[in-house]
Amino acid sequence: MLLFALIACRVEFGPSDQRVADGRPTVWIYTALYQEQVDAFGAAVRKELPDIDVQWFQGGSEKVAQRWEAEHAAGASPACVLLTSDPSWYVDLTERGLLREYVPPLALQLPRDWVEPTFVTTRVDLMVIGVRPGAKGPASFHELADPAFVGQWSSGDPFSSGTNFTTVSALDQKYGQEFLESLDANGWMMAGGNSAVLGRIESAERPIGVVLLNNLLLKPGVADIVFPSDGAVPIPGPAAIPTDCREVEAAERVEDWLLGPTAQALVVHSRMHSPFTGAPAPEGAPPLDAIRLMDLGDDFIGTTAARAVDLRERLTVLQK
Amino acid sequence: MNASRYCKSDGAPKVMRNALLLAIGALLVVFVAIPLGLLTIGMTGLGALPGEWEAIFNTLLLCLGSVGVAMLGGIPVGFVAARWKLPSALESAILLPFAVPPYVTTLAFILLANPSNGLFTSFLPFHAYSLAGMITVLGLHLSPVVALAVRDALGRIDPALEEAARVSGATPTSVFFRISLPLSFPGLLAAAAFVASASAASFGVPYMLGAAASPPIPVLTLRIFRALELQPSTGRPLAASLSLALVAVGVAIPSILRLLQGQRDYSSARSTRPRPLPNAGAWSLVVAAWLFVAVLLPIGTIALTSVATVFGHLDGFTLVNWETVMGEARTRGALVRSTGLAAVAATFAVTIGSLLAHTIERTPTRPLSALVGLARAPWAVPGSVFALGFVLAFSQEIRVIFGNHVTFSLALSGTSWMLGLAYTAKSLAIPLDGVRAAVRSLDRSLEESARVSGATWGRTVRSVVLPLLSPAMIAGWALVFAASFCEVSMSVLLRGPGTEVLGTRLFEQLSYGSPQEASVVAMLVVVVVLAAGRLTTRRPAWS
Repeated sequence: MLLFALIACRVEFGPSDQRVADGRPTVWIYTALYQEQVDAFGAAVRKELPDIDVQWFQGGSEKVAQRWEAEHAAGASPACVLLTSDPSWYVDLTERGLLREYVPPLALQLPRDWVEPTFVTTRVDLMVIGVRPGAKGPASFHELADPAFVGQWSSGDPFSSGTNFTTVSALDQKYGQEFLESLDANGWMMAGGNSAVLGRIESAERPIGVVLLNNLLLKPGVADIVFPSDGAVPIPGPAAIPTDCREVEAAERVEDWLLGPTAQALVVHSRMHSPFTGAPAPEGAPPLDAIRLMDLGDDFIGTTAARAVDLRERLTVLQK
Repeated sequence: MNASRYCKSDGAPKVMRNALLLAIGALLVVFVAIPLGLLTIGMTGLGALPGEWEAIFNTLLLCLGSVGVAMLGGIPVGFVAARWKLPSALESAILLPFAVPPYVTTLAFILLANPSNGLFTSFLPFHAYSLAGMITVLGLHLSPVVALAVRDALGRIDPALEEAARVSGATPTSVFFRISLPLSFPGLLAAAAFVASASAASFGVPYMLGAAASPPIPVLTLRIFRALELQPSTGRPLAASLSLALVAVGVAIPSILRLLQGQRDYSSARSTRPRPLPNAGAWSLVVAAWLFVAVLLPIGTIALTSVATVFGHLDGFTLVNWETVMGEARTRGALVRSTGLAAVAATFAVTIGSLLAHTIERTPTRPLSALVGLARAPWAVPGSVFALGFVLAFSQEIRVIFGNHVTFSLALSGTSWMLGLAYTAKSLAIPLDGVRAAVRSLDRSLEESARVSGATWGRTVRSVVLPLLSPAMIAGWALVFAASFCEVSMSVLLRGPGTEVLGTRLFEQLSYGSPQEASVVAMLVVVVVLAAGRLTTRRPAWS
């Protein structure tokens, strides 16, 4: 009987039906937003797009990328919107033909730098310097190489944090390999994420840190904010629709929503900057157009993606 | 009695035994072999290893050092727990260093021993960001495994042997080193193998201490992590190759240690526990020192951090962190879910591990050895890599269709089942090794006597085997529960909506929140594991 059963059966693999029992399409958003932010965005999108069942997978940019890549390799990922903080991954996905071309109508109001045919910036975070109250800190990223600050500062791990990798790439493009070597010689500790950097500032283990403005604004009083004189590093948070997505129309509506007034108000409420010119600033920070941004040329994201492998290898050698 | 129902070996009636093993084999193929196998597709082969000699060398040093520290702390504690009647709270506390996730004890260790302003740095010959620091944290974290193994091994030793030595004039120390310790050899070797595998596959401690060192200290798990992070799409093959090296280590170490044990027979026909001794004397000082370093210091630091106004400073306390964390419905839900999943995973792992362990020791065959190797493999693989294997295997719905009319569907992705199965598969080595060592110490004559007297296989298992193996099974259950209760690496990758567990809450707090709130979550883990430990240290009625 067992043999008969084995002969008579066949095995199929495929994605689960992405419609819920009431027929609504399910749109999975894979995101690097913090969980509290996901809760707020989730509640708002349920209210404004009640005919779409929006589900979230939340993790760091790298965890999202690992899961998505593994699911894609297994056949197809259920993700319909990718919303992380590592722009170079989106460039890589575009080059591999894995992202759909879609530009939300509202994206036409954004500065050109924030819009690509396959992904669009929905929020902007800034990498700045945090200094423990009462401690002396540098006025610029360049001053981190000053021997006066040897062993006093740290950053997140660029190998595991998309925001930190983008920052190191910016410093590399602006100042070159020699500058990275001088930072290393000045006791550069690159470990953990932005929260770990903030923890080291708070405990005074390393009273100076290269850290996201978002983290500093969410924990006021832990560190003084220094907007570097050589420019804060802009970290765009892109959104894109992968070609695996089977509910394309619903995904496009969700991406439209992410650039809409409700989502953008939530971005600002979450202590990040909206990419729209003239948008209100998050509490405790100046507007984006009043902050000096690091001058990184026309195609910073593309250059970051193109040099990503080389930069990571150079960083690995630097650490030895 | 129908003698033909019994096979030549000590095991069950043949049909029942083979059916059970077939079922276990099928489960291992589906939930271990397939995920691990899919990881190896396209892997770069062992050709990547020559470039990783520094990582391999550091990993070996980490393994050896951790085993040394774990033995140094675990052996005296296990001896005291076996020979003297400890208060049950203290006996439960033995498990605590293993229960608290290494991420959190490492955070405490950094506060205590970082080179800049660590509280104890000036008293130590090394600081936190060093290989010695990593060895210390891992060794203390895994010392309960050794302690429980020694406690259970000594519990099976005939007390007449030690009493005879004492009556003949041997000092307690001499009795320990010449009688007790050698007879605990199988359990000790199993624990050493376990500690070595766990150290090699550890990620959290090397990531927080080794990556932050200057220069960074590469070990295999960090290299695997970098391979996955550098190129999520193409790094998996290299990560799989390096993981294979870890699996080889994880499977080879017990084999080497079994060779060391040789053909010596450590079995005992005793079936009752020895009476507790009176005065513990100098041993109590050793245990007190271990308790202070492995339990009070890190957990005390975590407890203080959970109420600190400013991280790393003791100049202000508040309960706001506790109110925030406990006030979140998500945390309460994660606590309930983690307790349920850990209990289920522990029960399944002990059941499967004990069956395999007893069968392989009583009727060793090549297919069984392969099955045991398969069961042990996931423990040697970093959690994040094993989780990726699960994603590769189960992210799609699997439909088995019979004759176009009957369909069975398996859709595990994003469900709590996926987490529970991953925890079970990952932790099988724990009860398998522990129970196997216990079976090795069990004299066959006890089972044979029961059968010769007319007992069925079931009766023999219930009346003879289970009571004697129960300490090792209960210890295995407690260890799997502790390992699964706050598991982080796999949970972060495998969770879905509504399946949040304490490990993911802890990871969120460590990555995006505050160390104080992470410490609150860690203290919840301590409380639950203490409670579980109290339950598991109660002696079964038949002992």
